Amino acid sequence: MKSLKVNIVTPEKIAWEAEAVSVTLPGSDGYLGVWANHAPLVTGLVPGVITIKLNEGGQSKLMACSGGFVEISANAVNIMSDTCEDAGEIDAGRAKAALERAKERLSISDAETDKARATLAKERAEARLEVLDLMER
Amino acid sequence: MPGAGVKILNKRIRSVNSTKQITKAMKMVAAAKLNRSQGKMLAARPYSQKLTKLVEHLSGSADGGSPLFEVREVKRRLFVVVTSDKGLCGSYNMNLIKLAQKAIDASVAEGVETEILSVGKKAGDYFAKRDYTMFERHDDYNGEATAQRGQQVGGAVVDTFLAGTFDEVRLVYAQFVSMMTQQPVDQLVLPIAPDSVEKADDEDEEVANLDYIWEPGQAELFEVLLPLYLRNRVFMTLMEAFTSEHAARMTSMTAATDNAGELIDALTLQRNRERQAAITAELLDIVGGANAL
Repeated sequence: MKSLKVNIVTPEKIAWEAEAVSVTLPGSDGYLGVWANHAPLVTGLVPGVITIKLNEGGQSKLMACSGGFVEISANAVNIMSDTCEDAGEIDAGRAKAALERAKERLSISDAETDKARATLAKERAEARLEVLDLMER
Repeated sequence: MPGAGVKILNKRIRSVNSTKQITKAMKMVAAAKLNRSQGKMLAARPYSQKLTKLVEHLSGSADGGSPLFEVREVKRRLFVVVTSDKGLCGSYNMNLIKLAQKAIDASVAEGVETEILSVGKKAGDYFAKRDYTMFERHDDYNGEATAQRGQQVGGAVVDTFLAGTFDEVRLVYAQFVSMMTQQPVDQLVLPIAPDSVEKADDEDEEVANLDYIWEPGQAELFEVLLPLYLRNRVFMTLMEAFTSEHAARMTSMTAATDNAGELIDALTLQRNRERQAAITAELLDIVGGANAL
């Protein structure tokens, strides 16, 4: 079984890199699964959960991604994201507060509130909470 | 009166010594900051390299030009000048300001409306005092680059260019060449010159020539990717400039500490001489008195 090399980089650091069996990514056109020998592809990422299947046994790593780009080539998956955190790095309280704030902003209906930004913030917070939720199970 | 000189010299030695302790402490702080800053710069490099590579790919193959490539007649120009907030780093700020002022004056002489976005108190104070038009001032970065600050400056640069506020954006900062050398440079940021996309070191040409599938399309991706690339470029610039600042401060504080040490040695020698001279004079007095009896 061929494996994939997964690199997740953020502007501040290398968030994670290792060999994996498969990766599921929140692409801009919907979630996509990547296995070994995938065709070369570049696509945008939206806020969501990245699932990295580490081995055949089904062990996987979950990370909350806040959007960016992915480049897939020659069995390497290069993920460029503004932020990318695993369960240990996520602050549940902060994510919840951010979610509340974003929802509140979305419920106000005036022209001044930046709806697009609030929606993105909401999606980011939801992705973080989802990672925590999935890890608990 | 013999001994008075010795007293004054002792006082001076003490004062030089306390200055030496201060410069030494500042050197240590700068060294620690330099270390951290360099580490961050290294950690940020993979992202920047991957991003640059992607942009390179796209700019080679995408036919749809982005407005960020658009070369317009320059009526208004923005200079982003990155200096430090505090002094005591040798000629670091002066060199930068000199270069920036020359470029800005030339730009004004051309009849171009020129404004300045300053990062760091030194450039901000210098240009504001001399009645240059300030576009924005960031005096609170304190020698630390974060992704958010990169966004702040980079976002402003991209937005003003797209909005047509400025037709050209240039960047003046100190390149980090080595611990001892920081080179002030003046670079064009916007419009993006197609060949200015720095070549990331390609480890394997094979990968570079792959035929990618682009989702959604190249033009759509380009639109998101380019601003991201520019913001990242500004972020990397801030990081490099701040690393240079810490290196310059460390070098100049090391020199100051060394000089203080030399001064102390010289003063101590002089003090010992004077003390010896005083003792000799006293002895001669005593001997002379005894002989006279």
